[in-house]
Amino acid sequence: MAGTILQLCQISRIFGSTRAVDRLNLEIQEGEIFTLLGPSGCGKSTTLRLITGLERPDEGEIYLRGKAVASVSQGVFIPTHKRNMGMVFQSYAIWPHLTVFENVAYPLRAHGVRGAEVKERVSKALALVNLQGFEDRPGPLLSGGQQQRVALARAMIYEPDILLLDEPFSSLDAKLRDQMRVELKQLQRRVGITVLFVTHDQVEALSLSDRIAVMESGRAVQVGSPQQLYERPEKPFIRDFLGKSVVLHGRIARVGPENQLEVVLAGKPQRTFLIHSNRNVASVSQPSAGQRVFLSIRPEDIIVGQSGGQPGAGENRNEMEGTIAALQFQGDRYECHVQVGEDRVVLYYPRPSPYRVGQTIRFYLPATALSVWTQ
Amino acid sequence: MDTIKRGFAIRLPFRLETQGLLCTAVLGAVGFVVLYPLLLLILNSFRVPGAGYGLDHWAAALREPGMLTAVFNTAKLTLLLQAISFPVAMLIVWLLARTDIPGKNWIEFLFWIAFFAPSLPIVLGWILLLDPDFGILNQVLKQVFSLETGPLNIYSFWGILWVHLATKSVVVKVILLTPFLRNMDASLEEASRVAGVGPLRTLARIVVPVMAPAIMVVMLMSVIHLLETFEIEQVLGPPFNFYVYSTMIFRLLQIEPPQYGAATALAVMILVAMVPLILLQQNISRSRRYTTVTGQYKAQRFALGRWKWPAFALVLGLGFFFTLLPVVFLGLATFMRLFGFFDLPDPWTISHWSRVLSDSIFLRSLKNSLLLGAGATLLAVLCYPLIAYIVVRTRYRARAILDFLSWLPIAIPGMILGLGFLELFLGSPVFRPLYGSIFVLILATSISSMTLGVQLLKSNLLQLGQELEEASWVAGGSWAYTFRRVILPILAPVMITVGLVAFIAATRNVAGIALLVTSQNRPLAMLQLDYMVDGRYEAAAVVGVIVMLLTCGVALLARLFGLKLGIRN
Ligand SMILES: Nc1ncnc2c1ncn2[C@@H]1O[C@H](COP(=O)(O)OP(=O)(O)OP(=O)(O)O)[C@@H](O)[C@H]1O
Ligand SMILES: [Mg+2]
Repeated sequence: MAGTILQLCQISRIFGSTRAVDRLNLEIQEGEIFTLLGPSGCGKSTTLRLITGLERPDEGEIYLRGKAVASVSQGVFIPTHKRNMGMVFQSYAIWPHLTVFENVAYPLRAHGVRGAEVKERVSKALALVNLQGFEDRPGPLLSGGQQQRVALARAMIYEPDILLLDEPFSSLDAKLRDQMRVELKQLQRRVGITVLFVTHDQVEALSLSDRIAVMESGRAVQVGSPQQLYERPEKPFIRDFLGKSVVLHGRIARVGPENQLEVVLAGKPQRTFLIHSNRNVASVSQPSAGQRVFLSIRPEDIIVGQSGGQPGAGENRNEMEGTIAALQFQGDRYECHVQVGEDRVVLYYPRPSPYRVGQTIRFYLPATALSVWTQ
Repeated sequence: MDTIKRGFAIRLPFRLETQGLLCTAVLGAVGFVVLYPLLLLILNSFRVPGAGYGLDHWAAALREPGMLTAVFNTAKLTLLLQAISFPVAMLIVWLLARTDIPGKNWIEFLFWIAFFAPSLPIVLGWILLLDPDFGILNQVLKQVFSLETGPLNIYSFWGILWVHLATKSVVVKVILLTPFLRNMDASLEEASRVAGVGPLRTLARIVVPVMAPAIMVVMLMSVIHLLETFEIEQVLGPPFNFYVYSTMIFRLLQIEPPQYGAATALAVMILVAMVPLILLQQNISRSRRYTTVTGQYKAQRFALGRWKWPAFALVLGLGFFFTLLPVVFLGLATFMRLFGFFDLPDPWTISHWSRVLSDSIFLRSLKNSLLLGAGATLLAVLCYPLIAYIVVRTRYRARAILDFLSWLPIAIPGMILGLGFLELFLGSPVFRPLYGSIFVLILATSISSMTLGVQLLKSNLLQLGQELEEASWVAGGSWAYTFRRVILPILAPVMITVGLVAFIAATRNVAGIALLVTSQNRPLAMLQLDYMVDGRYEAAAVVGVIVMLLTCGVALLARLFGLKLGIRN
């Protein structure tokens, strides 16, 4: 059973009047890939820097394997170079005056490892990232992907307790990024190291992580598995940050048994929508008739056509129609913007599309995919 | 967002005890060598022998004949020089930076050499051209217009002014401002042009306001620079009884009995007059950060059309005046039996060279110069990176003070600092044994070159990604280990440059060491001055050529290592 390796308790870092990190609590399990995800400026990098000791916290405690590495109340602060962590910087920070070999060997030498052991461990680390034969290359003469691998080898060579990556793929092109992502995940599974990953790219976060913490203004707003976050976001911020969603204005018409809701949409087509199961009632704790709400659904869950034959359908429930306002060809499919009353609905349609802008389209919103939010 | 973030100085997070101690030690050392001599001067100017404190020295200074004239002369020279040199320099800057003038790299190179050339050999070159009796130019003019006496006299106020113009005044401004104008974001101008504003109004409404802070800084720097000069006035002034404050201080200490009190009071007077300049300079350069913008886009160069070649001739001619002309005559002088007398039988000789080169006094001075240069280089390479690092990268509380202290020496005239050192080394029994040693000179010259060295290193450190260092800490490197294995090797090329600049500054320095030199530790530059004051022009020329070779040769070396000067955004 894997235990907690890193724990942040009520950590804050204040720059002037901004709380870059604001009473943040996190717990990272041994051997997982944990991702900090959030928009630019939400404090992800600062959190990493606090963990490595590149920043001093203004409040709170950080424990590594149960031992305080930074604690304001106890006055403990272990300097960066004694924390035994590995880090891949956004710029990779490959030292330009050293060769690949010396770059990777640096942490060993800094820890006093000498002689044949250095050579052996460096070649092992370079083999791990598929960089054999590059030993004597000077740092600056590497491509972006190679530099990134050197940085990775360098971060892992001293067998750190935890590997930290600050947007390591952001300066790579899309294709290389995909490849590095897969390689990182495979590598992590092979070595079993704990990885703390920072990104503002939701696709990256969803595909790579075991668990994700979504951050906003220096706080973690929700922590969970990628599926949990995507399917059951707890805040509109997370719902809109992770993937697209369609939001419709409405009002609760009736609260049925087992938290079944009937919602009437605002605007022209006064349609009643049925919502199943309480788990989709994300932020409405006590639904009552007459309450104004938002209905939300992921575009990919919307089914074009009639509801006939769909489970839970019947009497045209959860069906809508609207005029196509815009049609975007995206290569593998069409993105279709449909005007329904005051609201815009986005849905996907496979190619080839028989529809044109201005035509009417019918679609069906499965009750299990809908969620209700307070207005 | 992005620009805001880039502005953050990310700093070393841990405040280890040892690191704090080291920073404090550096601060203490720099503070001691920079401030203590000045404090001593101020104190001593009020100290009355046997009677505690009083205004006796100030009274004596004001009573001293010629004292007020000397202060007045300093001011007159300064203002007149700025008024003449500034428009000339701006014209050259604009031609070099923003027009299609041909051969601009070579012209700039000439100015660059002139920037590092020692003044004294150039002064001698001009004496050889403009001396009323034997000056070549005067001889030619006498022949052509059949005159009795030479019409041009270098031993005059205008002569001094001319030599200033031809040595540093214009050159310093050109060197500092050309890169600034060249790197200024052209899109600022282009945006204005696109908005429908013509080139001249763009110049007035965009270029000049954006450049204004830089121009102000350079103006102040050159005023300060002028107060620094000593050797030109020392050679050309006394023959017609003309003194500025620095030569006056020197004279007060040369007469019997030496007037320490009056000289000290005069030095303090000048210091006080400089305080507003210093404050203004600091103020502007602090706000400059926000007023200028960097850009990748280079402006379309202004086509000079038919003015192209006249402009070329003008600028090249000036560059030629500032360097080659006096140097050629300096070289000529070393081979003439008696300079300027071409009608002697057998006027050419190499005896000056052989005599000087075998003279034990010369050899001792050469050794002193090399020792001085090497010592200053060593000190620069050991200390300046540490200062720059503390200022740029640590969270040491007093780093702003250290920054100011490392900048201050450029604003303190060498003569005043020299006087402070003299009183420090003679006045305290602890330091007196050092007086007369080369170490004193190394310290004095290093202080004057500290500003440039630290600034160069600072700007390089700022460009160096912070992450390179952080990666080392995370990898387990301690502060000292990181400094040794990451910072120093990456900074090595800059350090070489800084060392070479320190060497140049030390070997050509006269003002800062004039009061500290004894016959034992006299370097070449002072030897040349002494020869010139004795009227031994040919020997002085030989020494001058050697000093010239030493400094300009090293300057070329520094250029190979990528030395770049100038105010940049
Ligand atoms: N050294 C600093 N001084 C002052 N403010 C800072 C400093 N570093 C960060 N900040 C502020 O703290 C907040 C969080 O910054 P941080 O770099 O952690 O964001 P981030 O989530 O990593 O963003 P990005 O995705 O753009 O990298 C920002 O508002 C930033 O402006
Ligand atoms: Mg960041």
